[in-house]
Amino acid sequence: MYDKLISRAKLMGISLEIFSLKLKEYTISKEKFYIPENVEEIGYGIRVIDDKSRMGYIYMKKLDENTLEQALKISKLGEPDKANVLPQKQPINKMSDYEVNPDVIKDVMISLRELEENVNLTTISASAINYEVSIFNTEGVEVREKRGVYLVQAVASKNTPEVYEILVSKDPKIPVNKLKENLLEKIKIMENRERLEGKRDVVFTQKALNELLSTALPKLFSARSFHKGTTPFKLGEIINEGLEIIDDPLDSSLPFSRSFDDEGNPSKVVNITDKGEVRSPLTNSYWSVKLTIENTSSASRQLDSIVPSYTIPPSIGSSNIVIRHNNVESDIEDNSVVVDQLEGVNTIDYSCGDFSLIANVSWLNEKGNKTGLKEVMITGNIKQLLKNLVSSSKDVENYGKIISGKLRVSDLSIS
Amino acid sequence: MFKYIKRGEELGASFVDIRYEKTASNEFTITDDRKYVTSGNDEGYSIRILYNRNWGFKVSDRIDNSTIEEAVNSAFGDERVNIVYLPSKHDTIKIGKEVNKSKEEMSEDLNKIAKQIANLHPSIRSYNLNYYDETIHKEYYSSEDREIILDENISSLNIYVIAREGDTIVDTAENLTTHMGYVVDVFDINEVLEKLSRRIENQLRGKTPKAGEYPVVLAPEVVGVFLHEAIGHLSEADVAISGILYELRGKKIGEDFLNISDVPSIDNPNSTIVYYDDEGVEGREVKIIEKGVLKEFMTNRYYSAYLGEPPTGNGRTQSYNDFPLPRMRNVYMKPGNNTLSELFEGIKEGYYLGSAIGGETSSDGTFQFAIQEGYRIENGEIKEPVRNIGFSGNTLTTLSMIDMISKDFGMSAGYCEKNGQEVNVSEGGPHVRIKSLKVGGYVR
Repeated sequence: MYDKLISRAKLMGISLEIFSLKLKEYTISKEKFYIPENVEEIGYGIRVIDDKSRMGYIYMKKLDENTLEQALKISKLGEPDKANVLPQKQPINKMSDYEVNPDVIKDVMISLRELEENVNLTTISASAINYEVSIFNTEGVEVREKRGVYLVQAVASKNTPEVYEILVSKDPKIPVNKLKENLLEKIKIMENRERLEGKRDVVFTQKALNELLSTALPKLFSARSFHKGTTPFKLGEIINEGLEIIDDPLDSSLPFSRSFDDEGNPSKVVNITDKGEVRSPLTNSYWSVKLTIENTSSASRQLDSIVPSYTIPPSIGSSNIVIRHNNVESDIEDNSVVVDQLEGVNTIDYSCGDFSLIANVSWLNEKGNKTGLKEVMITGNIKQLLKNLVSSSKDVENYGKIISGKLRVSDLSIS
Repeated sequence: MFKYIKRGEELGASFVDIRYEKTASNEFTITDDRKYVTSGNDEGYSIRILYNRNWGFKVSDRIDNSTIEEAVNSAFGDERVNIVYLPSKHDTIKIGKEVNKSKEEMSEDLNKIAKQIANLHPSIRSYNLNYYDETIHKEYYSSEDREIILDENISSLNIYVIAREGDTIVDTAENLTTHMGYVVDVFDINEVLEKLSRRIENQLRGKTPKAGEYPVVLAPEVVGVFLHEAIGHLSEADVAISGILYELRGKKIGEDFLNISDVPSIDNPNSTIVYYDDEGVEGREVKIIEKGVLKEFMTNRYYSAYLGEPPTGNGRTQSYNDFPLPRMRNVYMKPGNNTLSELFEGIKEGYYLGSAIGGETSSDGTFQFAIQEGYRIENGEIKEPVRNIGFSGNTLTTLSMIDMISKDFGMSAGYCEKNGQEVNVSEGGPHVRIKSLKVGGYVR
């Protein structure tokens, strides 16, 4: 059916893209009871650009003879726009297809359940997510890739706020024990909490950075935001001389790695900032043509989930976000407020970067003594936060989309 | 479908339910740069079985005996699942009104609205107008001989605007959702646009408030968000049993005039309508707080059995792909006896909070909200607008601080995300006065 549709589109002189997603996901979760979920589905997203450069998008479960006509009918409701283009065929350095093993999920759950001996478990879950993305278009793009990732989560408390840990990993030796140790350590710290007195530097853990930055950075550094002036950042400005922010889809060990983006462009490592200077805003085909700038292959259909969706056309997003600072400290937490978990991240302002959040898992570290803190509110601005970033810890780790050390920030308002 | 249910029972399942769902959607996206339309169809089945008191759950694009077998074989757990069983029932219902507009007519209407948005304020840098409608056909079958067939329509409009003056960047958003037909015809769009224009102007001119504890008056929209986040989620049974409210059932946590319920529908164009939930259960009113006493929680079949309460019809899913969770429908506070002006009387210095961006609550009862429209109150009068205002507190303390509730009432609609599932919800109430609340401004 792919060949047939693409040949017909070519004959009609229109551009056509067929995005397909095959998903196999096995999850076991437990709150009061176990829920095993076994999901298998296939879906298609069809993007058409007609002879007047109007774009239409339809999605469905089955391709049929009428698919092209339906998409064309929808395209007539769009506005002509010369930036509506599909990618051309380009060489791709294909990563090996990768699949994770669903058979290990039950063992992961048994291991997670051992936490019950020490804390009140609210939720535990483990998933093996395997999916195949394929993109074919009339411009010669023909790409296909199998990807797989484990997702493990635990939420617990013990006369404390609920503390969670999440693991998104391709590693077949899923590091569950580390997740458990982290959770237990944080709950232990938070069992006795005091009110914060005085002003301190703030150290963000990789978990807090993932909450604060993984959604915000792609929006604040998208080409559209720079073009419209709806970001506090400016191209060419130096935010922080020691800071590097990189979007890296090519490190195959990382969970959001991919050989090509969600419209079939070959993946690239993008230095969003270089020596602290804002260099490369994230683009996809539409925005690179619209603004006549380099295409960073950042087309994304991910929304906030791991698996791309066939129900939406591509927008701009990131893969794995690497954050580095050239000042590396060995004892970064000393004499600081360490923020590990934030409440209210959905209220972060993605146009100006302002935030006002409760750090509901945070502690004061004084010469290695960790004291849990009560109701700490941190307020600030993401640009200001990056400006005031003074150092990184040595322990670079991956948490969700973020790969970073813990980061120390001065002059952040905490109360 | 009952032949597949029988197959499940033959394989040893003590309970089987099958959901089939077919949806068709249209989405118009108009920004200051581009306009395009998305349209789609989705359909699929979920099969849920109880085998040896363990759940099995299979989601598939197809249904046949092999999918039933896979569902039974997927059963896993510690043999502790118990659910509420219901009597046989066959019902076919239609919810709301159809969207009687062609795509071309919609396109014309939305173009006009987009033009109005572009000219709302000279500082507008960017906008996004998103129209969405969906027709949903749902079928529910269970081994209790229940067959519920449901057809519904939903139509929504989201407007998001960003404005900039110098280095000051502000944004504002408005969502309208209804089951009562074409959203553009149901609501007064000019009124919505005036609201957006006012908020942009207020935020550009407004000052950041001085952090501290103040008396506040919450408008119905903010009351709704507060109820949804700070009380509603904590009263969803799966959250409630490990949260702060569980041990307080039957205890007084507010004044006699405090009444908070979640209902299947409400007489308002913003109403969410859930006559049957996604477990085929009839919806009923859940009196979360009645005369200040914490009464009951929102449940699905499992938590009704666990708590020993009659089922409430709150077991909802985003789609056939998902397992039903206890979710809100229309959560609201019942109006009180005070006039609006009485709420402002006697406030020397405080804030009037008119519209919220969103917020979050932890199961220990701490909450945080951000406000997109707020004003300073001085000597009982509304004064200048404020910007970048947030407030935080503890649910129980805040409920006990409510000292006046107005006679008026308003509802708003939106979407709520929980465990990766998004469902439509509505929330609201009267104006409410809180004696003291922690108000904080963002610091730049």
